[in-house]
Amino acid sequence: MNARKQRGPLLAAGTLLGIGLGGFFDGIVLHQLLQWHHMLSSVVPPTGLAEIKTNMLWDGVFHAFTWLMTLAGLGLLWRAGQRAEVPWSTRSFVGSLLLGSGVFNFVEGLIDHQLLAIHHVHPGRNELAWDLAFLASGLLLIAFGSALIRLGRRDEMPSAGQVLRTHAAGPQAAQ
Amino acid sequence: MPLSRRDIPTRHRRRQARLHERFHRIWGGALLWLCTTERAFACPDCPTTLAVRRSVFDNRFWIHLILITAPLLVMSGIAMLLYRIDRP
Repeated sequence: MNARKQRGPLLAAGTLLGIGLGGFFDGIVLHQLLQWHHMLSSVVPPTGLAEIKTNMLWDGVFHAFTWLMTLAGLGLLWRAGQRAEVPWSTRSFVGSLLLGSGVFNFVEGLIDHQLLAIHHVHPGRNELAWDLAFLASGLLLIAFGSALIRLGRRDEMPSAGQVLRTHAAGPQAAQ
Repeated sequence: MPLSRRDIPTRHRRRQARLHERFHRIWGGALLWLCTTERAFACPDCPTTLAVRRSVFDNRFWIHLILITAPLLVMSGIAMLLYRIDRP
């Protein structure tokens, strides 16, 4: 069994899961627990009950899409696990999770906070500093994730699909 | 049938039983409190809620939807690019 190793499916799955989990972290911690901002809090400032409810609704839409991304990541991970040519590397997977979370922070920060300005991390004094710190956290996560993915380049642990196929082929194939 | 040492409750078992009892008492108390106190009031069809729901689906609905989904679409694109790594 000398199929060429392909890490792409595992990395894509981990990255999508990381993006989804990063989105949930942002939504749960910054929107709900700390209530620093909401998805459209610069467009519809949450100053009254109706405005807060409007923001809650759009937060719900954001969470729904985040959930879909997590689901897509889970689907890709399931498929990757069934493919013999995908090495089942913990370092690559954890690295791609970190990469995905970093991509979420960086892309969301760049588009929503800087370009569209639909909300800021912590509106008010030092708004820009908070936004830049959010971007920096994204870059840091991307750097850590990429480093872990690079470390996992040589990992050869077989995926479940490969193990099952070797097992089904009999003891000679395993040797 | 004669009793063996196993049948005699040890100090550890007695302590566990006491813990379980305390745990059940706390849960029972919490349940009783929840049932008897004034419950939180959610209002799914209050005038404010209805007005908010109506206002969300106004002419700005698609703009808001695009604003919220734009970064997620970019991120999905990045993840799909990673799918191609190591491809011949």
